[in-house]
Amino acid sequence: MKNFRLVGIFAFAMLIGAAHAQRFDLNQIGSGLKSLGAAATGISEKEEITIGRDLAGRMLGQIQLVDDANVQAYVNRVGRWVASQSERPDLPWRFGVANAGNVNAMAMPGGTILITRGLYDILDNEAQLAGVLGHEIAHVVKKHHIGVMQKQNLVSGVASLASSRTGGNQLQKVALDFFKNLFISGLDKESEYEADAVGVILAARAGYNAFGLAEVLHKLNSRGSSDPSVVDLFGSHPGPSDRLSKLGDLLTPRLPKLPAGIEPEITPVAAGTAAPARGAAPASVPGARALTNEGAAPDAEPAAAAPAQKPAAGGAGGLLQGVKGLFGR
Amino acid sequence: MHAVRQCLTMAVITLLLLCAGGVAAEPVTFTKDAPLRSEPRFDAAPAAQIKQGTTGDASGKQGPWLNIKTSTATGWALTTDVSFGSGGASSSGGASLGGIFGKRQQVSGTSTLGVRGFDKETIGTALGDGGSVNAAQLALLDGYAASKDDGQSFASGKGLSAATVAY
Repeated sequence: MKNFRLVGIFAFAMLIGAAHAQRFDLNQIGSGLKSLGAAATGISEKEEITIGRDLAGRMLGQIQLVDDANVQAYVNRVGRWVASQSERPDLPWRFGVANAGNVNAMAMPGGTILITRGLYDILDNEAQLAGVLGHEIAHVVKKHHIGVMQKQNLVSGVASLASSRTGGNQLQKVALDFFKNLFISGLDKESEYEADAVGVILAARAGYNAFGLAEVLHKLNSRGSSDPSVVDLFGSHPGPSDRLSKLGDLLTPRLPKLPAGIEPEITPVAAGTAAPARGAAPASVPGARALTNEGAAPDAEPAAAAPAQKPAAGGAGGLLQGVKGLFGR
Repeated sequence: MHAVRQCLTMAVITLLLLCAGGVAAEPVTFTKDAPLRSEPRFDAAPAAQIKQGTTGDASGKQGPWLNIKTSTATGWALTTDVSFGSGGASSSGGASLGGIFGKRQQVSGTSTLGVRGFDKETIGTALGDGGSVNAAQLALLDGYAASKDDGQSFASGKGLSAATVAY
């Protein structure tokens, strides 16, 4: 049933037609946020959440969460606090650290955010974590993925499929292909710069040193000279040096009004926690099933209860393709 | 004998100084013309005006400020005014600059080769024909979630307070 719901969401979104591409302008962030509702009409918040959970569930079907409940709860508290400073504080925000070895993060529509252990492990303090999460939260707040959906001119193909007898399954494939390509190739540069700008302000509002994200970008930039896997990332996304430059332009004139912010210690992954796996990716994992069999997506505040389940047993490994699409989700 | 003792004393002093320093200096290059301030504050007097392309060494930080020594001046510059490395190479060999930004937990680097990650292949499989939703993992994710009140309580305990900052 939910497959068809997802199909319906996409059919409707694509039939809306192309939205106008907006060039990024720091001075227009505020006004842009005010017009969010109008800019992303056609998909309800609940539908966004459904899409995001489906995508997150599929990613976690390949690589599971790090088996450290303390760290997972900690990241959710930091993320929730930062998200509470945004214009969408009441989304059912979910944050997870996936046991993935490379450096990456993915924001799903509706407020589900996954960061890799490879990224988490290089963070030195909570302000850096807040900066990274702030960037991902900004993608959700600004509805960047929904914006791309609206810009894609797939109307005729989708309409044709929708009217056909077997259109449902094919439409779901269209939807998944869309996100697969988007997650692999990344959002446009303007969206990334905008997420940086919004993210650091959210971190500052939350009381953190606003330059935490800049420090993480320095770390990535310094990897460039010795880590060949970054070449791919630099080819398809704004380079860290460009992002640092734009952050400097944004933050430097605001220094007199920026709170100093603090940098609490970060909670590390517990020693002995299972490391990311090596080897070939499984097509499916034990315990995996389609979202159609799962309960309804949450749209309310979560209970603060500790998780009772352990992560489902994951299959063995895959082939690292390196730092790819960093923050580009 | 006296000379040997002197050498040993010097070696011990050198070792102690190195340990006390704690942080190895990282080479930096200014990416723009920027002031080097006498203290890590935006309103501190400039110690010098530095030209884009000038190199120096960063030996520590306070908030957004890096303590930098160039050939002509020492002071504090914003972290966004520089890039690490002189001519492209960081002395940390592309590690995590943990010596500057804090206590580095772990350096992945090339040790992640062969390790599964959120990469093109994994995304392709997850969202391709062979992928499926792991409902158990989603339930686990829900269990870890924090409410808005949880976030507020957490922040209060950390000494974090919300501030009004315009976009």
